[in-house]
Amino acid sequence: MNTNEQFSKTNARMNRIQKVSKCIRLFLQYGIPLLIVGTLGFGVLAAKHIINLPEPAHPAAGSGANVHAGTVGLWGILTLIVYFFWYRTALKLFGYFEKGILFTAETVRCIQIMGVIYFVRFLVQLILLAVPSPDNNWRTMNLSDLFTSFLIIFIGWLIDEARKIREEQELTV
Amino acid sequence: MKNFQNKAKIIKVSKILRNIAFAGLVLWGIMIPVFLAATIFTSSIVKTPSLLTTQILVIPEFVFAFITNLQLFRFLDRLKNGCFFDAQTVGYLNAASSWWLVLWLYEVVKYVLMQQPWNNPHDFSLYHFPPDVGGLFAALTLKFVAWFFREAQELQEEQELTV
Repeated sequence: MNTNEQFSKTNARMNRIQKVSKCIRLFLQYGIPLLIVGTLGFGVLAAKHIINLPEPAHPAAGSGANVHAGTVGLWGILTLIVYFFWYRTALKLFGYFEKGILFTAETVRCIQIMGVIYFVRFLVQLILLAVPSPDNNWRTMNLSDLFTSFLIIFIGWLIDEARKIREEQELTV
Repeated sequence: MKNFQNKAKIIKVSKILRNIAFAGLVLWGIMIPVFLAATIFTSSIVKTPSLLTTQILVIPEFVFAFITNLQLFRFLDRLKNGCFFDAQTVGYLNAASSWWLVLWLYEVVKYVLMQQPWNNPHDFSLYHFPPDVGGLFAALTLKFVAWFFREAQELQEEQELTV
């Protein structure tokens, strides 16, 4: 295989990374808002009895006492903030990949922030489980979030260390 | 010198995480036979089909969780041995994410089977047991990371060949 063929193969691989990252970024940027709008639209249609949706097992999440409604509201706001940060970081990360910026300090920071967001999500669930409420059934705590957060933080740290090793090797040469 | 320190740090952290993954393996290894024995014991005493169905359906879930844990253990073991981004290490990470996806899919199937939709089709709804979307997302994130590492590793190999 000559140098030109090797170079084009490398270029194709880089293009593939960029293309996949672009697809994921576009899905995040436009697909998720569309999904949210769609869900809200279905909710409105169901409320006006135009269509029928299956009833949740615990539909009383927002219809009970004031304390209960407050907890649901708090849960909603905290979840929304966490998702907003996740959305912003994910867009930024895939934007970097799309530009061909792969193993740099910025991408590592984004990956680690995403890990921290998972951890915060777990903490939000844990805190809300401690808040007294007449109906606890709608609230759950996923240990998988805690596990995922540590795994993502670890992978981010691993990339960072590998990046440092490479930089030092380049400097040594 | 600093280079060596960085590598030593990765190996040290990987060793700790590998030990945690090993503890997980032991836990699943104990839980699977205990649950299996409990199911056999329950089937001989209690004649409640729903309880038995639930217990039987939980066992494959534990098996899938065990395999996912095993792949992560292998991944961390490779890191502990100083093989950072080679094909096999990334392969174990990819396998872990694939098994995690299988685990999530099985969870959905389990929730469907637990409600026995053929007996009471009118009451059937996944709202009763919503599957953990976080688990699906975590598996997909790992899958992407593994693919990304593989591509980057092959990219680096090709660049080295070009030079």
